[in-house]
Amino acid sequence: MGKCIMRPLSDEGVRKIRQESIKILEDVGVKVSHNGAKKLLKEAGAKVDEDTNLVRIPGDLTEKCLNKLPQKMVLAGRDPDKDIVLGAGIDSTYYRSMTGAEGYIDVRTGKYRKVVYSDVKDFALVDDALENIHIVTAPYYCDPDLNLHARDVRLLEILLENTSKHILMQPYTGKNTEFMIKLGLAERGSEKELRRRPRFTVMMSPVPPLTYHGNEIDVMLWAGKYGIPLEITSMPICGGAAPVTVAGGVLLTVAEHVAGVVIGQLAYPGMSIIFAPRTCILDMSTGSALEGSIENALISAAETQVAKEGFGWVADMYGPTSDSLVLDGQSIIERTFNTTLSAYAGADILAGGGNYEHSYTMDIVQLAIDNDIFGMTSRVLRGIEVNDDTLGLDAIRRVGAGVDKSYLIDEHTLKYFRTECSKHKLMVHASRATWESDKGKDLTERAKERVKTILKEHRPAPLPKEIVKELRAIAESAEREITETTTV
Amino acid sequence: MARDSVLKEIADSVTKGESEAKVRELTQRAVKEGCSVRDIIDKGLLLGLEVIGERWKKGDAFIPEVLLSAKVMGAGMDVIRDAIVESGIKPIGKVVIGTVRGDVHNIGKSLVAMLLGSAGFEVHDLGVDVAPEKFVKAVKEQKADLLGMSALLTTTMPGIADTVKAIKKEGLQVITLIGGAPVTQEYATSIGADGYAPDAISAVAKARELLRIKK
Repeated sequence: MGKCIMRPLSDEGVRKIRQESIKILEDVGVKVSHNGAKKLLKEAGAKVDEDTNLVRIPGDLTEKCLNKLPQKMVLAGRDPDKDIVLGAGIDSTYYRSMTGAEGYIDVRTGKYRKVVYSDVKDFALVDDALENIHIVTAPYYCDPDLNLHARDVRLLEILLENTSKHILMQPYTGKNTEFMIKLGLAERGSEKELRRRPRFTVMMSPVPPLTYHGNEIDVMLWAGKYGIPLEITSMPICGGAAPVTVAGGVLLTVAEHVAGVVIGQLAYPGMSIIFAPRTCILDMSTGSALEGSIENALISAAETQVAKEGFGWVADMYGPTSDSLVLDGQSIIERTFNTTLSAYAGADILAGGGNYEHSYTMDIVQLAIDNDIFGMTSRVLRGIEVNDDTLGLDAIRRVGAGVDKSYLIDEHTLKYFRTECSKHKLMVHASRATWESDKGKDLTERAKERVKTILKEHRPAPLPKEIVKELRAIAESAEREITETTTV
Repeated sequence: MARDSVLKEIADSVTKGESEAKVRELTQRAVKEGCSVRDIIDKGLLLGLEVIGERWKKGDAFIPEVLLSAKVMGAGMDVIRDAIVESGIKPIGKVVIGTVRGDVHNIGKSLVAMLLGSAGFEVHDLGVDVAPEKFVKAVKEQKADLLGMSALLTTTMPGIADTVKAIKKEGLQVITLIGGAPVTQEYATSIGADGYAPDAISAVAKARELLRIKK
């Protein structure tokens, strides 16, 4: 079967980026403030300056660590039917919603506001119902009377109860990760089961350029200890904390990720690490960090290519994203470019469903539209199989030539019509008269209706009551114990 | 007039971001010609920066160009620094600036610091992850006129409110100006900060406005 390929870099480009990323860690170094990580690096042969925390990692050590990454990883749902397997030789593409936003579009009023607690369940319902979402995430509630420093833990508790799909979380600190793992252990029933089928993945970000704070390493170590897959999200801003050139931005991002892999593999050889960069562009007019521009799309495709061809990594990339502040044409243009370029470059996971305002806003109506973009992407990635049957050699001979001939009820048509022509719930394919007779709704209106129906009718499979009780108790204890946040 | 012409040359050179050496040389010439320190700043160095600042607002110039202008202007300011002190002209204000506790976002805050410095402020940049006590100490030690704070995460924004509270508790007469992506005018008002700016160039204008009102 043919495969869609988006390769913005030449073979030599990929090779050079790989080579230079490893060299940067040796020549420039990376700042690591975590004492445990520094010790591991030193013992393994890296040069550690205790005064500046600058660590220079020799190339052969880096190569050794890169080789320790596992060939396959499981991202589990509640039951095996929702499990995702990623790794070498696996060509499937999965989709997920965005994470981390505090801005929200109220589906009833269409107006922007901050996320509130009740939005989380709504979002989980829509995520759980949409057929092209495989990994579920949460918006971040901002209710002033709630403990916001432990909300990441509470969010995981809500998601565990409201979806049977795999979950992605962004823990604030090592302590928060520890509580998330407690939730995971309670839901899975044992450490053995959590390790065998991890119910959630966690994400952390180094600080560009080339810095890993204690906080990030703490999250990584908790993940490694319990076999929880870890996404490392390097997101330098080109022109700000990374070179302004697209090539240079890709290189610095890759170098940061390689450093994370080295530390992770030294601590827990074989731990699952996913390349999940979000390289931004510094808009030199406004000072804004862009995530949805065409350069972002190009960078994302290039990073995916480097991940696949240079390193053999599992890659989680944008995906639908936009710098627009509303669901408008800019949002649709930007997210379509960003999704297709990364998908065609071979990304394993496309992220960002529901995302605009460069990750500050979540919109479940946009998410429903992204579901269709994902569906269309899958159709393209399926490719076109060419054989005698798909070519319709017999059918063409059967039907023959002449204006009175038709394929409409030919056996070939009946065999293939359901699978050849994909259906996307929100696309309208009617005549003007029909469309107008149904109130002439545009895409946003139709998406809103779909979301409202889901919210009214969809109910996720419930968890046993005793497990729900235990999960809530863990979330409550997290809210009692965790009272501040740091990114240091 | 020879004086007017050299001042114009200074302004043009700063606007173009044309080498620290050139601006230094022109400033020295202006001093020789007998230009007042006030004129060298207002009609030369600062004017040059304001021109590119206006172009930036219109979308005709970009951040790296503004920063370059700021840098070469700084070279000119260095030439007359002693003369500024002698003439009794104080820096427009003394600023302490930093990113709050638990937050390590740096670029935006540094941009504001650089632009304030070039606009004639004396800036003490405390860096990132700055606790309220550290801000208070620096404001006291420097006798700062203005305290600038940035936060890029809603979870670290409380650091701004805590510092404003600490400043008020100590009865320090310093103006607080805040910014950062999740920060809003609404938030600034609710925590009792004196001002808010959505971007670096507005921050400079706002800082000058707030200090004029105070003085």
